[in-house]
Amino acid sequence: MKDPADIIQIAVSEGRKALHEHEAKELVRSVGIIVPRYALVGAQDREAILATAETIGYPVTLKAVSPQILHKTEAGAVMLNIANSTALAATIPAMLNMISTRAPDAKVLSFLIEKMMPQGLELLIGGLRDAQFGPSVSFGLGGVWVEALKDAVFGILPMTRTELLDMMDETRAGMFLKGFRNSPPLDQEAVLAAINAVSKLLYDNPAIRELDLNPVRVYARGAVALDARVVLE
Amino acid sequence: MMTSDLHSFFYPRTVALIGATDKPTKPGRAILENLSTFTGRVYPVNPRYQELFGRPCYSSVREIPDTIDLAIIALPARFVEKEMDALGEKGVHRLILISAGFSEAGEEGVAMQRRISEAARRYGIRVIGPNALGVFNSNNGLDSFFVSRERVSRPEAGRLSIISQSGAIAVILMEALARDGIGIAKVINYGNRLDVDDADALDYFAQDPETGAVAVYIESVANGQKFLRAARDFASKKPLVLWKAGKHVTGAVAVASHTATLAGNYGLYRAAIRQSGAAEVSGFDHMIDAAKAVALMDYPCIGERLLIVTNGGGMAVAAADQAGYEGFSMPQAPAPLHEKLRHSFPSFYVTTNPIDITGSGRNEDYYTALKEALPYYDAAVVILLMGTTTVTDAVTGMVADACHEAKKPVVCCMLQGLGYTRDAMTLLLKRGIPVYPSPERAVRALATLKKAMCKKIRE
Repeated sequence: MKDPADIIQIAVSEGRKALHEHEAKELVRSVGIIVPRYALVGAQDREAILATAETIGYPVTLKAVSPQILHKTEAGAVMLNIANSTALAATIPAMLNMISTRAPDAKVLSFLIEKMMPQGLELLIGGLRDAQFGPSVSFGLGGVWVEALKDAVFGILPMTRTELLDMMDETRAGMFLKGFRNSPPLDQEAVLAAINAVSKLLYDNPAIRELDLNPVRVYARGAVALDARVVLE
Repeated sequence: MMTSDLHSFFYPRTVALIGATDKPTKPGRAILENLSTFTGRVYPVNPRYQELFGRPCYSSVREIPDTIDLAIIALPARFVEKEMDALGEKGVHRLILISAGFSEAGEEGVAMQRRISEAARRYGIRVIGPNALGVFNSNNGLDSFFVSRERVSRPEAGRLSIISQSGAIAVILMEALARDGIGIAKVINYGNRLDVDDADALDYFAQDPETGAVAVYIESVANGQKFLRAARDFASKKPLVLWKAGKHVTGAVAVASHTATLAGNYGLYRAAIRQSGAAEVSGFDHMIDAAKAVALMDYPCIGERLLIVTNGGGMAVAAADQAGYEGFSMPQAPAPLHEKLRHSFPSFYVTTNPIDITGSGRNEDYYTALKEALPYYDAAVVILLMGTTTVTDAVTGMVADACHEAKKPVVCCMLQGLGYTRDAMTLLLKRGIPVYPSPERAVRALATLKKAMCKKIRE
């Protein structure tokens, strides 16, 4: 596993303000955040893409990696829940075609192939280096609910466990975590560990300005960051 | 910062007022008049006068035949710079800079403020301001506010202190509390906070024996981390009520992550307030209501169980609704209490919770209800409809007695009319019972009081 400083250094040397998704995932993995099994394969190597998907195991997610694409969904650079090799083989040209229409300037360098994860509560866990308050974290409902419910609240680091729990208690996400009607309580400890991991990244790497894990899927046991975005100073 | 640094802003032995005048439209006139209550020595400075209101007036601070603990400058901004050298030579180490026209007023002002700041550092002068009202101290009559007392009355001495970034809010809060007879210990308005800021004021009030609680108004803070540390430390010792205004200012810079977009201005302030243990208030009325509660009530509310006692059903229903919003529970009277109340009261009184002694309820029924029931609850809201023939203003003493005997927080809801009810309200406030004009405001103030004292209890 690469050192966070090395990952950031590569982006800086290439003049990028943001990490690629696979870089961001490698960065967050280095502090113990769980991400779905993934592999990066060159865009031209169709054989390797199919072979990698077999190794990871279907269903998979296919994401196009391009320095010109910051918002993958809008550019058509994400396809979820691909069931088998036939579907994957068909998806690749269709995705490239879509990108050439929606983001004509984008050069697709490689594909990220990821294990599809089961459904679960979707959270946003974020990190921010604020000019006034310094390193801070955010927490709330994630995925499609981020904009609609604006559930996210903030915490100023460093935070005690009690302060983290107080912060989570202010949100609907915190309520869902505790179990709701027929749904069982979810793995709050895994969520706390992820927030602590984000805070460690902020303290250890002054070059990180903003960090989003969104969504983080939380299960009865474990929490998995499906997407990671890191913006540099 | 050494806390003693702020001490001499509030307790100087001598004050020089630079820009003292008899011209009624100038701030230097109002301040000079307001300093008449100050127990220390006051030296007006203005080269144009030999004497002002019977005090000798000096042409420069250098001429004053006494050491000066505190200088107040009430001159137009462009004259301030050269006064700094005079202060330095005289060995003055505390300055309240009333003058406006600095960093709030464009580039030239910013540059002037920077030069003042450099001079202050060079001479070792601590500064409150510029663009500030300065300080009010009910303990020694020190008052650097340039608003006349004919227009804005000052509160009596009390245990609440106020920290306000806005001069207007400082003055209005002071007057609103004075109107209700709520005492104030100290007030500070630091304006452009060239030096002394929100955190310095909190640190000082945390150890000031005259200050029992603080109400803070901020739009922004000088330094987020410093503020959080100071607020957290303060709230671990004394109740802290905080109003952050300007919640919807968004950053002009476009940001790439959700986290940064959602933070805006308020997100992180809310975090700081939550982590500090301060009780946040939502706006002006809430601020006044909460300030009144922490100024008067010293009994902590250590749980959620709320008792309501009323002589009018509808008002209690409204109070119960608000109690739900504020996170209170309203458990029914346990069997022994229920029995006792049924025994003490006519059968048509409602002896559950709310306890409704109806339009026939008498003064002593309030006392009985509170005395018997309060041991089973954490706090009470008492609704007093003063229009019935069986309740008189003597009820105020009975409610206050029951509160002070049980040592649990009690707030009252009483519609404040003229004459009789207004006087009854004053009686309650004098006995340390906060009074509010609506059931919702009474319950909300109680909830804020609970929050403000919660951290003290936890630790």
